[in-house]
Amino acid sequence: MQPCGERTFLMRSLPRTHAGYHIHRASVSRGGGGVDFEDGAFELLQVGDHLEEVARLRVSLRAQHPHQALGRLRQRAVKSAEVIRMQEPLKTLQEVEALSEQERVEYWASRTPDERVVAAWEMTREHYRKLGLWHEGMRMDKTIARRIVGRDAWRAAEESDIG
Amino acid sequence: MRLLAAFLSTAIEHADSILLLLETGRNTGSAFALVRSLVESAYRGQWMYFLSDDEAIKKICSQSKDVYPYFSIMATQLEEFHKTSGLFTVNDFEWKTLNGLTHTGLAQIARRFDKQGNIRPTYTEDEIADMIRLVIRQLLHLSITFCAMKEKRQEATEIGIECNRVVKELF
Repeated sequence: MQPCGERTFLMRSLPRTHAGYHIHRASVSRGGGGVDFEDGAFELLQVGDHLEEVARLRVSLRAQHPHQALGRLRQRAVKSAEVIRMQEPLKTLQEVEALSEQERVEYWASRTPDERVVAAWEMTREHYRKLGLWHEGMRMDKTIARRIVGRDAWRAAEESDIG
Repeated sequence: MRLLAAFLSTAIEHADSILLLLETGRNTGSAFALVRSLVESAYRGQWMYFLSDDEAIKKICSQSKDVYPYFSIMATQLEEFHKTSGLFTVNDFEWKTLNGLTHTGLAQIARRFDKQGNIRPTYTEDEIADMIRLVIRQLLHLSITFCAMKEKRQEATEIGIECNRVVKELF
């Protein structure tokens, strides 16, 4: 859950004295993109002096609905138990669908957040394929979520196809 | 109908593009910036089709301002219309964060520093996964709308139930 106090960061304009203000201006003038800058490129900006302040601006992107907050707790718990259940193979989506609702909930709760995102993606994609909304030209291929989320973890799970 | 199709095709293209950008591993900020556009095109299209009147549609087609309700109201109305529970809900905080990512606000700026103070993208795996969840949610909404548009109301209801289940179990 996001503390209410942090909400104000999103509504407040950045003061001119703030490092982020100058960094933003510099990024715009240099056409800054999603690349790493060389050390020293912004040394005049005194980023270090303001780093703690800027770090606090890192507002969570996460949802705050109570049921989603519960999901976060579950995710954290699963992450800590990840090593223990590494040996369990993934079920196929068809196998999961054959489970009872309670078994299904427990099964997904036992998997990592990355595995659940990938499963949700593959269900959605299958859903689109059935509706005829998916077409060859789209990036929505079966494995894209695996390639984005938890790349390293999925490399190990590749042999156990959940699709 | 054709107007809704235009909204839907725009939204699906945005979803596709977000994944394309995320897949590169070097364009995460741009992918995040595009999420608001996806959400907005999906919600606006659905609101226009299901909840607006002729007057509002005339305004949309004539580029009038203030046609659409405030985002959280639009989300609540869609939730009630589809009889779903939480599938459409995007609260003010999340909406403002999405705006910040799109308009290079603090939500975006604060993710351009590493711990040493170097200027580099620092989007976490968890944040990326959250964004993919949001993209999936939008795609699920759109599939409900697609069925409704094709006058497959029964299918739309079934898909709505299925979508609720996916969100509840997997998110």
